[in-house]
Amino acid sequence: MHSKLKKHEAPNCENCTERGSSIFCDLHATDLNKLSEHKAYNTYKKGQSIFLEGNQPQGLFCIYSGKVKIHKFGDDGKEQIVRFARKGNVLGYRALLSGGAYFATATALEETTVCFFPKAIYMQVLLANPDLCLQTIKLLASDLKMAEHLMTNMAQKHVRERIAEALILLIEYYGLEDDNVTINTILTREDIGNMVGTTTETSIRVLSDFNKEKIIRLAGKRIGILNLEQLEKVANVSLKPNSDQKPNK
Amino acid sequence: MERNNLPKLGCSNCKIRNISLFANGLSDSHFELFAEKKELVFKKGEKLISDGDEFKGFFCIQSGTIKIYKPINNKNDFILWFAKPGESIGIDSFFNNENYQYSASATGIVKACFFSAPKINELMQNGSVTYMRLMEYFCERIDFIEKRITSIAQKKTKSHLAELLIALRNDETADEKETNIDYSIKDLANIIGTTQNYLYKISSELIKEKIISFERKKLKILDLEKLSILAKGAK
Repeated sequence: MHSKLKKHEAPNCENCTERGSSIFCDLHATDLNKLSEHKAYNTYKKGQSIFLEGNQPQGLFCIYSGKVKIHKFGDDGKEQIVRFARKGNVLGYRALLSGGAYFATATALEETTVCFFPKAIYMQVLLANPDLCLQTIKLLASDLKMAEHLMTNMAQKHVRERIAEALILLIEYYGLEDDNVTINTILTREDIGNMVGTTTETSIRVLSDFNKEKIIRLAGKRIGILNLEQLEKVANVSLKPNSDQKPNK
Repeated sequence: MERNNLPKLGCSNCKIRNISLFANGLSDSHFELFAEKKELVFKKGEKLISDGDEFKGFFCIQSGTIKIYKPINNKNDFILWFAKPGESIGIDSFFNNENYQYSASATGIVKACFFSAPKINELMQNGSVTYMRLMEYFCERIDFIEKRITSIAQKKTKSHLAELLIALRNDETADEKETNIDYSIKDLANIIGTTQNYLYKISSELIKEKIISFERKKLKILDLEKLSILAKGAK
């Protein structure tokens, strides 16, 4: 895996344009420089795994650019997407904090560049910075809320509602392209099925129904939103998950 | 929320302190702050917090079990998990800066300590609750929920039930062969997100196969080995 990685010179954390939206937003220059000095900087191609469920964590990843899916595998090897991540988000922190193996696998959805901070350096900076601890706790609390929301939907909502809500989540998380219609990420029908816990066939069928009903517009793997109001109605959305990794203070 | 106030126990003497959020607290002297906490008793069915209500503080459970659930319109409640002594209820809403996101009600007699919102920052600043302990707590909760997401999405109801029975078995009554389950069929149906009738049907199959038994409204695991194989999705 690592032989395929592109290597670049890492940007300094202090000057990073994504820092304001990350958990490192309040860190002092000394700590940012400490992180920068020891970090690695790699680019992963679409479909490459950044880390694998069950492996021991060696450090913390922070996305500089690109999009990542966080997924688990069931006992029969079937994939379940539990979360998405975007630039400025950190990955692999739960395994580091709980001292266990990675809980899930992280895979690039498009060409993605990440910074990697070795465990010892990250933990040193974390333990010396109450602000960073607090940001991390807020991040975990937000993750917990999203996970509970997803679980309730999985158990209670019909697959049509779940797919509609998954599309709304993608809009909230990745936004729309310049045309203000197309969702700014490319997911396969299988990915969408794995998000909501259904088969690829059902995912294709429901998206095709939405297309016929002129709620969305399908153009290859790209999905455009034609009628957001109707999509929200189908999704029966009562609570919009907070997808921002830097929760409000 | 104004239930029967108990005589003050004091956190330094608390038996469950070492499994609670206060486990890694710096020293007993920090617990002086807790003079303002309320020690409360709830009867079966009484609510500790309600979904959507304004965040006022969190509960640390001393004894008893609490049902944590999302009320669902026109349907049965969906149970997220059962909280046991040592667990904290509602603390996540403090960090998410929002109203309570679930309801919590007592499944029997519950004793719990209530810490009001204005004191939470103080608890962290004086070292009574360490950041590391909070992080561990949230990691454990997320891990549990994400495993259940995968089970709900991928497992057949029978395998999901088997997995749930193993997770919910009462360790105190466990011996090599038999283990009690303290939850009703209705509870189990509300955790899995299926109907009671369907769960009765599946339970009957497990009873016929002598994997579990159901007597006097109590479920018992008779064959943990077979149940474990079933939980992994094997036929």
